[in-house]
Amino acid sequence: MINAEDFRNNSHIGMIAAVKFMVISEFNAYKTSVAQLIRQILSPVLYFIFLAQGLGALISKISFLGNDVDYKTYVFFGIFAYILINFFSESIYRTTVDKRYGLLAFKLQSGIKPLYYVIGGGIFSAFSMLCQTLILFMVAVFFGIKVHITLYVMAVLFAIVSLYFWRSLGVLIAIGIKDYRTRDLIMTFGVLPLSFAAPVFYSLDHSPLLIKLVASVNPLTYQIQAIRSIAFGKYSIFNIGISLMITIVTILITNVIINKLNISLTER
Amino acid sequence: MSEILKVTNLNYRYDKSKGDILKNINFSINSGEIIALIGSNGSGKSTLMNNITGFLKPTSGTVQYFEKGFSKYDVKQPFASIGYSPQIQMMDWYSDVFDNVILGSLLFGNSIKESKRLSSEALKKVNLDAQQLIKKLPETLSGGQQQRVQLARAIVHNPEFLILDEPTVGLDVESAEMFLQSIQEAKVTALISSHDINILEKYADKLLFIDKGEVLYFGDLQTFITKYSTQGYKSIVFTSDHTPKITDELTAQIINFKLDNNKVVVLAEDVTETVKILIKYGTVDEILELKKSLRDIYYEMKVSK
Repeated sequence: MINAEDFRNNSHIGMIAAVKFMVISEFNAYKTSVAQLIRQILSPVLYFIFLAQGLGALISKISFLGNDVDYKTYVFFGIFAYILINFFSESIYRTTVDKRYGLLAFKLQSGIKPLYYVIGGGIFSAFSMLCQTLILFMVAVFFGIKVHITLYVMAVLFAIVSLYFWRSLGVLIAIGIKDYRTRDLIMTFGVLPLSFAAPVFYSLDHSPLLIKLVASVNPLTYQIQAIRSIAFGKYSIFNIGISLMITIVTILITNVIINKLNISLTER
Repeated sequence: MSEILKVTNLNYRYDKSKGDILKNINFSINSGEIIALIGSNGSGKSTLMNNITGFLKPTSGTVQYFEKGFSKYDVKQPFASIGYSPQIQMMDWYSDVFDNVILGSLLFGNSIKESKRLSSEALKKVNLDAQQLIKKLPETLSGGQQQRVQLARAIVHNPEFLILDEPTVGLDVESAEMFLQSIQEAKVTALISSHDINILEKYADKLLFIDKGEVLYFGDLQTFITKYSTQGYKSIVFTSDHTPKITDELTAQIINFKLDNNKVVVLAEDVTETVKILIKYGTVDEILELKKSLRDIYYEMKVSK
């Protein structure tokens, strides 16, 4: 005998099945939108070509963790921030749809554990990020950016770990969103300023105090600095450590909150 | 027949400051039964279904499932025994029709290949297997077609217990009948809420009638109809050239009657009085008992409340 209210806690389809399900469902949603596919591939490339190349013509060197580095290379890795923020938007977007139409409740009720929902839902994004960074790498090489391949691969892998911070934060925020209007408001006034308040195109070393303060509470700052430090072979333990810690903590918090969440098919 | 579900003293309220939406609900369902759940808008039908599917937690009371009622019960996936189609369109609007149905199967442990086969079968059962439709996004379909996608997703994993909230909304009569007939033929246990009472009467074994969160009736459907039909109407066929006079006199004597050419329909209790009037102006040829449909009884009960 089982009580209906215990369906959710008693259901467990297993990690592999749950992750497979999430990957397929994200892929299915993705494949119907060719425009989105093109946007995801082209946007970082265009950012790089027009911003890194344009600004690179004016600035040759920039200070990074006390060292002068090539500005174009600096901005090239700054584009990773743009990619991460895009996946954050994507995560909010997809989870809002899942929640709004009862699919989140249905998935949890059927045995997808919250952790697998977060992890599995990010795998397709991680694959997508691999493709984006590969194309970006080829474009960078074409424009004469010198990148160490091994360090680049390590930086990309670290970016994928950081992606899970944004994936779980996106899920967490979307759970609290009641309607599309709130979602759009968060997208406009929350997501966009994140990339401006992080050292994507500028250096924190010579920034005004206010910018330093704002950047210091922006997770993207630590992630982008960590990615750059790996790519430049400097390995900033502080930035890498903070980035890893916030990723783990956010995933855990999201897991706990979804577990305690009263799931319903519709918002009341 | 084994008991599949038992609802005991179920109460539910959304908000602590407001009253109960469901009040002391009690009923049970045996395997193979089709239960018609009827009640007006806001009577608590969907809330009851959400409690039964475990999406809502009862404020008090229990909703219990019994494993022995199912032949393929999976301890790790108890929800897999249930196929649920809620009132809302629970769909991934960014995945095409076929993928939406496939996901319903994948979620319950079937392989991709098996899920594709099951999805094709499910879409056939809801009369939505045209190639040009299944590759479309749900938002490009009509309301009725979207409803069929939802139903296909609910039945794709061959559940043993179907919980369907307004499954016939947007469906043409033919498709609705075809779908419910397939459920009946498959001998699947089902709890079906609908305002399409004529169709429910045709396929349901039992009736669960709720109003303002309380059970008005739970039991055999035909017993319910028989019980309330006895308080029904009679049709009296007569021959007379003085219909206007009959009309005047019936109006003066009887409150409720319906006159149509040579036929007058009155409440059973008014038959004697009506016959007296008719004999004055002609002859009474035949008195017929009108058997009320579930729909008639439902609306009468609604009016009388």
